[in-house]
This record gives sequence, C-alpha cells and structure tokens, in this order.
Amino acid sequence: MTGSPFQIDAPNSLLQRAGEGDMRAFEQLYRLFERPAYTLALRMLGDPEQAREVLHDTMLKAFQRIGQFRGEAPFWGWLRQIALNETLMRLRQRRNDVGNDNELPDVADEGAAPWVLADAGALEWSLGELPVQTRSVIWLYHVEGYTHPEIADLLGKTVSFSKSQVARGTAKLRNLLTTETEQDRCPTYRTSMA
Amino acid sequence: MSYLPHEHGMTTPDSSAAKSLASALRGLAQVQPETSLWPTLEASLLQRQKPTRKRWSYALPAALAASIALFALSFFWRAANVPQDASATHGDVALNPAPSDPKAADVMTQIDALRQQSQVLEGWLSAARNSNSSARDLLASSEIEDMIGLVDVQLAASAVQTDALPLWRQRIALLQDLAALRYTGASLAANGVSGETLPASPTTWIN
Repeated sequence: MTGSPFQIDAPNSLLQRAGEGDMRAFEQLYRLFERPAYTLALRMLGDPEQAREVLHDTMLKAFQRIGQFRGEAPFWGWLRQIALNETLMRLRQRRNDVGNDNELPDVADEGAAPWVLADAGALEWSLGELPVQTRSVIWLYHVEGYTHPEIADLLGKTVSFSKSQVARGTAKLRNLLTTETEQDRCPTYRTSMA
Repeated sequence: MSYLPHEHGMTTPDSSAAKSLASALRGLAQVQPETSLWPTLEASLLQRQKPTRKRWSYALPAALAASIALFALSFFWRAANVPQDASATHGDVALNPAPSDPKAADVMTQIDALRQQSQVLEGWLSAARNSNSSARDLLASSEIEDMIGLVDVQLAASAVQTDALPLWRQRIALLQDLAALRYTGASLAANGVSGETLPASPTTWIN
C-alpha cells in the first residue's frame, strides 16, 4: 500500500531557490504538487470550482510563506497541511451541508468488498454520493493516512465521530457499489429504470 | 501517523475490507484542474513581489549615487575653498561688519566657509538643473527651493552672526539634498531608468 499522494520529495536545491523567490522554482513546485493538492480538495469537497480555489490559495500561501519552512519535516507534509487547512475552512463554511446521516446504514455488510471489483468511475461516483463530512473523513483516513484522533482534531469532533463516519461511510459505499454492480449485471433492470 | 487503517477497534468494516477500500481509493487517478492555475498564480506572485523588487533594485543604486555626488561635491568645495574676495557673498543675506572679539570672529569664519560652500553647490545645481526629473522629483525640488527661499528670508532678517550660523548650515543641508536629488535623476537618466518609478529621493527632508 502506498502512502499519501502528497509524498513527493522536493529537492533541497529547488526549495532553496524557491525560498530566494525564484519564479521558475515556484513553477516546478506547483507542477509537482498540483495534482495531489487539487485531488485532496476535490475528493473532500466534491466541487471542482472550490477545489480550484483551494489549489490557488494553497500554492499562493505556500510560496508567500516558504521562508517559514524550516525543513525539519518533509515539504510535502507542510504543503499538505496548508491544503488541508484551506479545504477544511471551506468545509466549515458548508457546515450545514453535511448530508443526511440517516441515509447511512448503522450496520456494515460483511459480504465481499465490492470496491475490489468496481471500476474507478463507479467508485468515484459512489464517493461523490456520500455526505461531505463522511467523504472527507473517509478520504483523510483511507488515502491520506490520518488517524482517528488526528481527524477528530482537524474537524473539531470526537474520535468516536471519526470512527463512526468511517464505518458508516464504508457501509454506504458498499451498498452503493453493490447496487451499481447489480445494475451493471442486470440489463433488464436498467431497461426498466429507463 | 498511520498509513494502515486496520486498528482503532472499528465495529465495521472488517480489516481486510478496510485495507482493500484504502487501496481502491488510492488507486483512483489523481486529477488536475481543466486549465492550469499557474499563469494566475505567477501573476499574483509577481504583483506581490513588484514593490519590494523595485524598491531594492533602484533605491540602493540611487542612494549610492547620491552619496558619491555629495562626496564629489564636498571634494570640489574643498578644492575651491581658497581665500576669495569679500564681494563673493550671497546677495540676499545681510552682511555683518567684521567682529572685534575672537568668538565672533570664529563664527564669521564659519559663515564665510558656509557661504563659499553654498556658492559651489549653487554653481553645480545650476549646471545639473532638471536633467531627468520625474514629477515627484520636480515637486520635491520645488519644495526644497521654497525652503531655501524661507531660510534666505530669515538670513536677511538676522541681525547677528550667531543667528545666521545655524541658518547657513540649514541652507547648506537643503542645497545638498537638492544636489543629491538632481544627481540621482541624472544618474538614472544615464542608465536609462525613468525617474517616475522611484520615490523622490532623498526622502529625509520631507516631514
């Protein structure tokens, strides 16, 4: 299993040039981290326009504050924290848009994991169907590798909240993907729905 | 930070399913905006860098040029500082008779020296007049010239040398500021730089 998509080593010489205000170095850093930053924002927010805003503001802040980067931790971790803060800020602005938790099943289906067989399009679609906070917790936990206490801290929630969001979100994904797979396998069902 | 979401005692889902979900989600292709944000970012960054860059790239040479000009003027003044005829005095200033006591004589000597320095500066300024003046420099020059005029009025009204001495010093300082301003403009013009992009310099005489 690979780590966070942000885990990209930026050469020290590149960081040094960026610290000196070299515009070409900024551009190289942008090219390196454009996708991880945009992907994080898009997966959590589900809104391309807001994801663009996050990417823009993240990079601008990073380049303006690059003098504060001490090199004690990896650059990607520092940049990811800025991207995450920008994303969470927008998430808080949409606090009311948390979706309907009642739609989430309380008990997980212990059957075969449908995401093993699902194609990327179906997985992206089902992820987009989750309430925004559930989707964010799922992404932070499964993809970015944050622990439940860390997620609870980031979102200002309890550890139990993080755990329950992962559990219920996973169950919801399972249901969505199972339904999707069944529809794929049953042409008469799709015809009748059409 | 853990990258293996298998602990924490979740009731659901089971460990292998969680791992496979993490793997599936990480396997999704990374996405990027339809159009690159770099041009916008670059413009924003350049916009924010601009004032600082201009200030340092031009202000330092300008300050250096002003310092060189003052040094050169000082050198020039010393070379020209030979005993001159008493008729070479400033016409707007009241002349005082030769003092009898030593202290007054010392003041008179200092005033004479300042007067000669003033003449040297004025000669140089008339030669370097408005060589490459931005609107701001012209305004600053005008302000300094007004202040020199005010000092001259005070000098004309001063009855004793002890009052005149600080006024002459002030006059020299203003002339030096004016010379530095003119020299900066001339130096920038020689290097093909527009004076409009710079703050009026030197900035010490204002306020």
